[in-house]
Amino acid sequence: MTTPAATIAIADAVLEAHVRVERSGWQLDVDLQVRSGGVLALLGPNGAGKSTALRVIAGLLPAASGRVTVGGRVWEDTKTGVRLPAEQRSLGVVFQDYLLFPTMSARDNVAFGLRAKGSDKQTARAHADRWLARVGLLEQAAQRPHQLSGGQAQRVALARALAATPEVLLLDEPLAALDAGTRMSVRSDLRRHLAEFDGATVLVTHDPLDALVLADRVAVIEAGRIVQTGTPQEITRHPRTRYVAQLVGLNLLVGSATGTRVRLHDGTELITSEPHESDVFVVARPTSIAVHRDVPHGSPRNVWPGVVTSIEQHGDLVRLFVSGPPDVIVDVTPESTAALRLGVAEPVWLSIKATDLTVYDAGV
Amino acid sequence: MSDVAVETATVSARRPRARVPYALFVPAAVGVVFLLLPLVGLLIRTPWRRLPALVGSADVRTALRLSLETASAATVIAIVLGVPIAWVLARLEFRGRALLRALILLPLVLPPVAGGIALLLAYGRRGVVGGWLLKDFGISLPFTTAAVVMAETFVAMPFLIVSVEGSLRGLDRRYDYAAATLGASRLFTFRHVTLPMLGPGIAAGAVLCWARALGEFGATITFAGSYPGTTETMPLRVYLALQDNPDAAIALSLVLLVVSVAVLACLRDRWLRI
Repeated sequence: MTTPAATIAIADAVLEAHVRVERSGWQLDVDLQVRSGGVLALLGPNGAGKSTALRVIAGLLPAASGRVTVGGRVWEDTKTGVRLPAEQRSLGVVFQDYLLFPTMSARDNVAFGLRAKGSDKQTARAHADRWLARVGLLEQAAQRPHQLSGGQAQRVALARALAATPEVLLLDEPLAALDAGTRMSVRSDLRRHLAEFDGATVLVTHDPLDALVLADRVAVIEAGRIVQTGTPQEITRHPRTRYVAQLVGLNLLVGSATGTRVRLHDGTELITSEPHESDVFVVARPTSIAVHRDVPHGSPRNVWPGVVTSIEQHGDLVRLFVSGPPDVIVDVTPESTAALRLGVAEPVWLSIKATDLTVYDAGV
Repeated sequence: MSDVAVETATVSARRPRARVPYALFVPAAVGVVFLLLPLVGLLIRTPWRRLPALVGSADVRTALRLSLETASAATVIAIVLGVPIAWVLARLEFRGRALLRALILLPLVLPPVAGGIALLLAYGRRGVVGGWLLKDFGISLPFTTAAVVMAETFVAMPFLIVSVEGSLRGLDRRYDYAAATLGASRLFTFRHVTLPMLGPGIAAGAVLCWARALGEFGATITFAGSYPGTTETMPLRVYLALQDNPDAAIALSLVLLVVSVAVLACLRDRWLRI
């Protein structure tokens, strides 16, 4: 089962942060812990406060209240008034648009951290070259950032962040600036480098795939709060909010179960295969729901009428948004869309087998 | 980058042609003639054959060298003092910033002669600082080459400050943040990140400042006088030559015109393309 929302209790945490930031009409309040070698993804929609949390940990933004400790050392504590400036925190940050210094070569960008900490030029450059070799960019060492491709710039930014062997690595939407094709390969490279990094990593992303591939723990942030935490598997199998379910491409229905009957909050009833006696989440995969023009007959399944509200291309499939109740998304093949002559505002019948519904305890 | 370029190209291609209010052509044409005629006159009246002799004469060479040296010195001082001032104006928020900026930029609009008088009152032999310098250190500033440099710096530094402040405001401050997360102190960040990125802005400001210093007349003649070899710069030489040797004055003006054209050529990327 997932741990209760809003806390991530980890015994051997390296990074522990409780961060509260207030703006007019907006508040961020998150509590997070990352163990040594761990990668925590903060997943959430734009404007949820993910990047703000990152900036507080980096020391670029003061917290209204909170505490950040790394390896037992206090970086920030609003109670005691301790606040290390960013340059005294053992950090590496990969910014969304990388912020590579445009006047320096890739090598000098990577060497910058060591130079800033007092290494002489030659030592720093030799070290930078080893890092560039590690990310496969030694040949580009003399090039300026504007001469690099997006994927290369991203890897230079990563090398720059890691070169001074920080205790904490912060990644702010590290793949967002890349096109879809590059993102795939850079993502798997990034995964490899993160596996080799033994500090604590916090990754901010709005892309669930980034979170699921790169992180070993995911915290979903909505409107400034953590609404669910868990391993990628837990998040995808048992989403606890509609947002998370949509993120991972699932229908999440909430209701209370009596045996195999689940009465949903919208008043409709579903038949499930496993009995429960509590408030439950019911997950229906968009591909498991069948669409019909007329009332379907036959085997025991859940059948309800709806109206198609919009139609979108979704990979190889066509995604239908159908208002019920319950409202669901349904993925069908382009062939069946054509065969059923589906269009917006068309009335349809939906059905799903009891065995295709996943039911789990809604808990606290 | 290429996407951006394509985008701009499409936009400008779509921009509708201006609707021309033809009546504006008349004052515009009069204005252009008014501006260009003196330059044409200068070129027509230039004694081309005697030009090498006029420009090459010893006193002209002395004035020219003094001008180049003092203008360059003033520019260096303006960079050393002006870039930090620009940083303060662009990056710090404090009460009275607008007032400070107004005071610093005052020499842009102040008549240079008044600036010269003000310099005398501050650094002259009886000035606030000048009197103390003379009494305690035996240093007298007015009517020395140092006074020329001071007058030029006073008048020209605001040009550099304006240019550099504009560049600083255009810089993405997040580079400072990136440097901080890499452990760089503020001074290290300024030296290794901010300053290199400011390079073009400082260069443009320096050229402008240098050109203004080279042409300085009013404050210089008031504060430094006109002594050949020590304080007589090109503009002063031109003015004095006009009384006894008009041809020399014309020839020297031509030299200053050539320098000005060269300055414009240096600044073309920044000023002539919109």
